[in-house]
Amino acid sequence: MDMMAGLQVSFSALNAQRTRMNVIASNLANAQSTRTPEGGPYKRQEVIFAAQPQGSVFEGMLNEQRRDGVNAVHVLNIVSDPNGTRLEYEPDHPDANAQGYVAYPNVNVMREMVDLISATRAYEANVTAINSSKDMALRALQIGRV
Amino acid sequence: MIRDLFSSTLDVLHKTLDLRQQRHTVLASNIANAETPGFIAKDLRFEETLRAAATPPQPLPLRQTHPEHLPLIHPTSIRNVQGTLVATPSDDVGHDLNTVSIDREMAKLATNTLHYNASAEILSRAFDQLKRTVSETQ
Repeated sequence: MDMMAGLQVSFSALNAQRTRMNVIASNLANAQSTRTPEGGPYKRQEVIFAAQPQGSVFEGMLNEQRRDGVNAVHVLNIVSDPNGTRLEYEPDHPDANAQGYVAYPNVNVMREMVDLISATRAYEANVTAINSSKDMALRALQIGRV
Repeated sequence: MIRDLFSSTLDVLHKTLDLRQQRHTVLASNIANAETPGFIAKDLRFEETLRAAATPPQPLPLRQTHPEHLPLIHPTSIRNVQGTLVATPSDDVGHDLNTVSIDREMAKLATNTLHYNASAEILSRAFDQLKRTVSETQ
């Protein structure tokens, strides 16, 4: 039973990191988008992770000691970065303002790339944890088999 | 005699596997929350308690003098050993107040898995030995 809890925790992290990667991909893809359905340039998106204690309430009551300290992770929200847009002087651009400046999204490509690497590493760490869980479960099944 | 056959070795191994598995879940939870703001890394400590329980002091042990007596549960009996959750201290806490160090947690996870596999292997061999003991007499 506990082994399954470990797997669920790791799976929740894979999910969360994948969502983060999707958001980063969206930021990178829209690094130059000057128009959005809401109007104005694209705003950089950011995920917020939150820890989520594991186990149902009933199980938690019965087995408080054991479940303590085990937290899955989930994406609480995806928010827009409120920081200002990047202005560039391009008088010929159709979205240029009266002074000839175009408002570009507040996406910093280098920052997004660093974030992407970080997300990939976190994903890999959780895959390793899942493999460990699997190895342990398999090993437990072999007890008593000669 | 049959009690000697199923010695406390099996109990210790059983408990070790159980606790290592619990610790694994706690470590997996740390790794899953490596980027959650404000998350405090935890660890399950049990090695000292288990070692103490596996080598109990022997002065004046309590005895069951009647079969109808309630079974004795010694406070430091191996079956009662429980891990204690402790927060892992961290030297470099970032701005998000997260205390998980991914390298440290991965190292712990690998060590814990190795220990688990070793215990499982020893348990397998203990059973193997028992089986041999039983079948050699035929």
